[in-house]
Amino acid sequence: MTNVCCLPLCLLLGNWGTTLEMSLTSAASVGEPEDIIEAHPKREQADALTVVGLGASAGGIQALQEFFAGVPEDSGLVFVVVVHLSPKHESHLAEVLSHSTTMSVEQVKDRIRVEPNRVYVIPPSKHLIVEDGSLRLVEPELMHGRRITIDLFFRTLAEAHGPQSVGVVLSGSGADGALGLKLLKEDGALTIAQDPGEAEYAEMPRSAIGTGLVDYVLPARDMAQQIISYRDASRRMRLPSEAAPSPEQREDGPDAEIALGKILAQVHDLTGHDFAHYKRATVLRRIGRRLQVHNLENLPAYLDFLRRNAAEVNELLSDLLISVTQFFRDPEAWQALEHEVIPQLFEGKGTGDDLRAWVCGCATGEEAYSLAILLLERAAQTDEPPRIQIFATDMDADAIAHAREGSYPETIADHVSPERLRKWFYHDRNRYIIRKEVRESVLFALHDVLRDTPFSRLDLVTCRNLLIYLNRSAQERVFDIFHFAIRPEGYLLLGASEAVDVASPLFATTDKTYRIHVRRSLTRPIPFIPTAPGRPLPIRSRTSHALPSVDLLEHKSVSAVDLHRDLLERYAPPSILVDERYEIIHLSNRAGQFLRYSGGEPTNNLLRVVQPYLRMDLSTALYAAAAEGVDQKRTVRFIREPGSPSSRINLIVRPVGEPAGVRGYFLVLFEEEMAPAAEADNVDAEYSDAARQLQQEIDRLHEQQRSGVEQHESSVEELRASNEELQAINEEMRSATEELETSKEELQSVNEELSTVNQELKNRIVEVSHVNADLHNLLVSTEIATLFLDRDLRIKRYTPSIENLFNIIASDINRPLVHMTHNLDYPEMLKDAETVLQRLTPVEREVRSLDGHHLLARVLPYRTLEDRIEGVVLTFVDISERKKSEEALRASEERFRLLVGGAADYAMFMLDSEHRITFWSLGAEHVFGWNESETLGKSCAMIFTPEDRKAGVQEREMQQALEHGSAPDRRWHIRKDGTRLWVDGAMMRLDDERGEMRGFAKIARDATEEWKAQEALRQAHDELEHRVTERTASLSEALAALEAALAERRQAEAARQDLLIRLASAEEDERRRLSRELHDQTGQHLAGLLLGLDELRLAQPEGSAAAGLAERLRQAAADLSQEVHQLAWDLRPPSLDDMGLQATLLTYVRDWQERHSVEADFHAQNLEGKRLTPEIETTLYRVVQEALTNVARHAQATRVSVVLEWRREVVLFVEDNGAGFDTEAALASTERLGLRGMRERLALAGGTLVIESEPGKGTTLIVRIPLPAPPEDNVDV
Amino acid sequence: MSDNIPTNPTVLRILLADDHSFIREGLKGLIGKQSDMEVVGEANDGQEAVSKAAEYLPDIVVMDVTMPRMSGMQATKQIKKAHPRIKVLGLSMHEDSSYLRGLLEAGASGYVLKRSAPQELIQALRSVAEGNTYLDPAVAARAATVFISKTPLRGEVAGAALSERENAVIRLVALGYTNREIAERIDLSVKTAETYRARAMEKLGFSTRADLVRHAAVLGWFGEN
Repeated sequence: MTNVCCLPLCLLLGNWGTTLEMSLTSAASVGEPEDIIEAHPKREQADALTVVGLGASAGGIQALQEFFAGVPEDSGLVFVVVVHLSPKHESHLAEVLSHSTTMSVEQVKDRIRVEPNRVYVIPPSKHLIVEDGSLRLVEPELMHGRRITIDLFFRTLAEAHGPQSVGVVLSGSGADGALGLKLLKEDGALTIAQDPGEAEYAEMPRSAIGTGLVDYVLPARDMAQQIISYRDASRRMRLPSEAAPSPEQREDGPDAEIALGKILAQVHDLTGHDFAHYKRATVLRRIGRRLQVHNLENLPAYLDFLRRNAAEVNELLSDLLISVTQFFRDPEAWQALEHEVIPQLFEGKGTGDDLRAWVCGCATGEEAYSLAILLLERAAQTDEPPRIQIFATDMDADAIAHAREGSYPETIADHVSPERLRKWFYHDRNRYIIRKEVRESVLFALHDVLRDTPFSRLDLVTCRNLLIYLNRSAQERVFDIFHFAIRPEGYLLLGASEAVDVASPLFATTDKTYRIHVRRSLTRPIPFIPTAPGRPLPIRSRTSHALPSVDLLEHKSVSAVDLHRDLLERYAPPSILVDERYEIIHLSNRAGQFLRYSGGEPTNNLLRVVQPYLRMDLSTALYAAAAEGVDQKRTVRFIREPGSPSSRINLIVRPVGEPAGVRGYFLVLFEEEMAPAAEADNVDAEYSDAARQLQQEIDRLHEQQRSGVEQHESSVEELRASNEELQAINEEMRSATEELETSKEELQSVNEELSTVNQELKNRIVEVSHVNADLHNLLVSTEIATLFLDRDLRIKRYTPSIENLFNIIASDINRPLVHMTHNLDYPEMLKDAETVLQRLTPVEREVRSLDGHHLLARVLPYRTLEDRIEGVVLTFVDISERKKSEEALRASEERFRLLVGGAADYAMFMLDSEHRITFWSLGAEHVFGWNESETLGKSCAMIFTPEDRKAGVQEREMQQALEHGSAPDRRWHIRKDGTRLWVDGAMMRLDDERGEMRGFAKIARDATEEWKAQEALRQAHDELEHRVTERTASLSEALAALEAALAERRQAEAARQDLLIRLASAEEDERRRLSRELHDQTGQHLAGLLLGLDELRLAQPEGSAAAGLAERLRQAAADLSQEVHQLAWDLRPPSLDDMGLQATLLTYVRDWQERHSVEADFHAQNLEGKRLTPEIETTLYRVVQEALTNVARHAQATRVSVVLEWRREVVLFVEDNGAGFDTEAALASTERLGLRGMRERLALAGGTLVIESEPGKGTTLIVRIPLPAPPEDNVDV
Repeated sequence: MSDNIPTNPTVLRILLADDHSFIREGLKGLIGKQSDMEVVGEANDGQEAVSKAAEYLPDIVVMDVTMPRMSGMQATKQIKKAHPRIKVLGLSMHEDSSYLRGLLEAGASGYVLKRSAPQELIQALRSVAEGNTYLDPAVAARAATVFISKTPLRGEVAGAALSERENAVIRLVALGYTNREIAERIDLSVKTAETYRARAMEKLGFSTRADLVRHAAVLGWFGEN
């Protein structure tokens, strides 16, 4: 943003401070250029708290750790870490860093006041800015998708802390931080980048270094030390006050002031740049930075350093010239320019016209290109656009060189829209390079606006952020220059904080906000325009016709007032001091009487305002004085007014020779001689008439001369204006020359490139000759005789083996083929070659050489790599060997044929794909009767029997052979004589070498006899077969009979079972009947008997014998009744029918217990109130009866348990704790018939019996009878 | 019908139900000798007993258990249903307690064997008339064990401290598996299964399978499956 021009104005060494007058009062009232100077009024007052901003991205953690490892605990510095953090995750950066340093590390929350010896870390997804010594978080914004976190922080750091800040760029990708470093540097901060060799991601440090504004490139761990010594140096540093020194100071000349002057003089001497018009504060601040960098304490020390180190002056200069700019800086101003000014510029301009603009202080060219882009865009919308010429000037040679290159880092994408980037730039290796058409519309020149001749007839001048560095008088001068340079109605664009004085007569303000001004059209005396024919160029410039600058210094620093005052002491008469153009510079008190102002434009030109009667003499005197360089004296007689005595005036013109600086000035003296009146009267009397006539004549001549002089003067004036314009044009030419100079350099580089290319070509040639050699060797080694012919069939090249065929020697190259003799029998050779040339299809034929070789001649078109036909290639390959082997093959085939033909028992013949016979062997003739001539070319259908032909047997056979490779042929065929024969053979498919069918072959023999034998065999077999069938049938019958018998047996068995069941049931029925009989008949009768006997007893007298008898009878009957009951019960308990199984078993088990004195227990589960079928109840009752009988008989048990359950089936357990037995043995023995009986009985009811027993371990009988669970009782659920 | 209405409230009015006429004759002679009893009617089978009871409304019906057309138990049930005040005294040849139990469940108030002394019957009639239950001493002992064995259960408190294996084995025993089947089912040797079973039976205080099954029924093992 600061375009800096140095001002080569007069500087008197003794009081240069006056030219540095400037206001340090902070304010920014618009329209007061000198009030805008101090951009950062506060920061100089900020105490010495130095803030170190660390910017990092990828790979930054390690760099930060290394950095902090080098920071001592009490550095007194503030560290702010700004890194790109993922917005999605919490950051542990503070925690990580706290392991690397003893300082307290904290993540910034909202707003925090910084304190020394602390580390502040940015949180994720926020931006950090510095404000009044505090850190504050703001919401992030993306610039064209790029991260600008670090740039933003550095910018605010620069604004807030200026020189008391340090910017460090560490590892990371992208270019964030580079722009921020520039701004920091501009504000006097220290800038450091990590050594790209060390950084994990070097892109960010590289971008920073690429700005050219990095003070140090260091490894991360060494940075802290550098920062501390820089800070210490700044504390020790003593600089003069930034306020203008007081006169006493100036006079006393304290060391610092003197040193400052000398430093600037040194800069001026060595570089040609004069910073006298630079604002003092800026100059001091920037020199101060150099002091810090070199760890120096004060200006005298720096002066010393500067004198001893030749390179330092350039470093200082580049610090003083820090130029920061960007594309479309202040976009609103550019928009205003685009919409308000540029259309005006194009107004009234056509194809033949020029649109001229001057970008004054263009720095690295961004602004100039921005303007060029706008103008070109506008031109593109115009039908007949004018030629666009932009002059872009700066006094920094490096910046200009950079601008000419027109290559910018990718970060410009922040400021240039994607459309413009696409249209006006191309992208190459991470840089945007300005396109040629833009580049060519801009002329860059090294130029100092205050020193060099300006450009002229400009439509637009932009001069942004240059004036703020100049003091007021320099600013006014610049405005004068711009007024000269801009054509009437042309525009002037200034920087945001600059403005033309509101009251300025030179420019009218059209847009106050964006500082757009238009030149006022008014004629005014030609202002001071620098027209130095040759200007002192800085020593780094190549051209070296620098003037001794000391002269210039002296010349420019002479005060006209002082000089005049000095001279006046010597010459008392009225006097006027004029310059070489006769402009009045100073008047003595009485000189006014000799001047006369008339109407018209006021002017200071002495010859115009001097009294007419003096004009001519004065004019000649001045001219003579200028020409001869000596005093001129003219005596002029004149009459002050008609009638008054004439006076005489000695007009003395004295060129001023001393001091040299003001050479060219003239002092004009007016010595008045008062002639004695009497003498005059006498003369008047004597020459009265003649004198009057003469006087008239003189007056007339005067008048003539005067008009001549006036004409002369006006033409001189015109010439001078032309001269000035020529000088401006000259300046343009100079710029163009420089451009040419640059072009020349470019050409040199192109030349360089060409020689590189040349070298490369040489290498290629070497390669090509290698390839050639390879090719040659290849051709020789193949022994293929080859001839290369051009389109005219002239020999271009051949291989050695061709010499065997052609009579050809090396000198035959380029001779036509037709001239060659050869030993080939190949008359068509030339014709073939021509044919190939015309049709481009290769020709191939076999030829014989005269010495009997067979050769394969091939004629091919010669195609270049670009596929052009440039001739013909003939090759001859010796194929004699092949021929021989072909012959051999033919012979062997012949032998084969003979062999096949001789096999008389086998018929062999072949068919082509159309099933026509192509070969018919003698064997075939023998077998089938037809001879070869009768069969060849015919279908082989003839050998098939009529019925087979009808049935399509032949076609099927062919098809099978086609599909499977072969098909058996075992069937009756027919002979020529009509007899039939049984054939055993096969049809085979024949393939060519590509595997495609080319025909069939059949081999067959007469197998009729065999067939007959087989037929007999087959009949015998059939007979046997028949007999076996018969025998089998009779066996089947026998089997059926057996099966029927078996079925009978089964039926009988079933009948037996049925019988058994019926038997068991009959037995039970019988028992039941008997039991009932006993109960209901015998029992009841006994009961009746009992009652009768009782009655009988009662009827007898008590104690009588009859009574006693009756009693005994009654008792006997009662016993009998009980026995009858028991008998009935034993037969079959009536309760089994009346009361059911459960009740009956309960009674039975209890009775059994009583009877056998063995503890017996019965439990029925799920049988309460339910009845099983009578058969099952009976079966189970009998099983229990049998089991308990066995227990009583064999077990010697003390306890028996009977359990009956009815769930999914009926289960009965009878378990005792008795002696037990071997179940296998028990079941086998006949003794235990009871067990078997139980089994059988259960089997009849469909039940099973399991016995678990072991000797000594008791016995368990488990009876299971499948029976659906009682429906009303869902025990299984 | 009004003739049949008892005239002397102190005299027991008795209906005899037996399919044997000589039995009825004997009983009639026996009862006729008693001053405080009279036979008001006779029935030849169960059905007749029911209708005669309804007709005469006797104090006591002497009921034979086994009769044609309708058993004594059926008849008792119907009479008691229709006339709860009529008492029934069973008179039977059957000495096994199942009949005794059946008859008592049907609503009879006493049971006398036909072979017992006639005084036994008279005494039973008087006792029943007074509202008592009378059982022939010859069957009383058995009847007692019948009723006792319906309620016993020694080990129902158990569940007592069986190991998991014992518990599993004992449950399977209760569910009717043989030792071999149990051994297969829970992958033990037959001997081990037996050992578990014996130990569990001992812990539970059971001596027989029947004890165990009763216990299992009470604890609801059969419902669990």
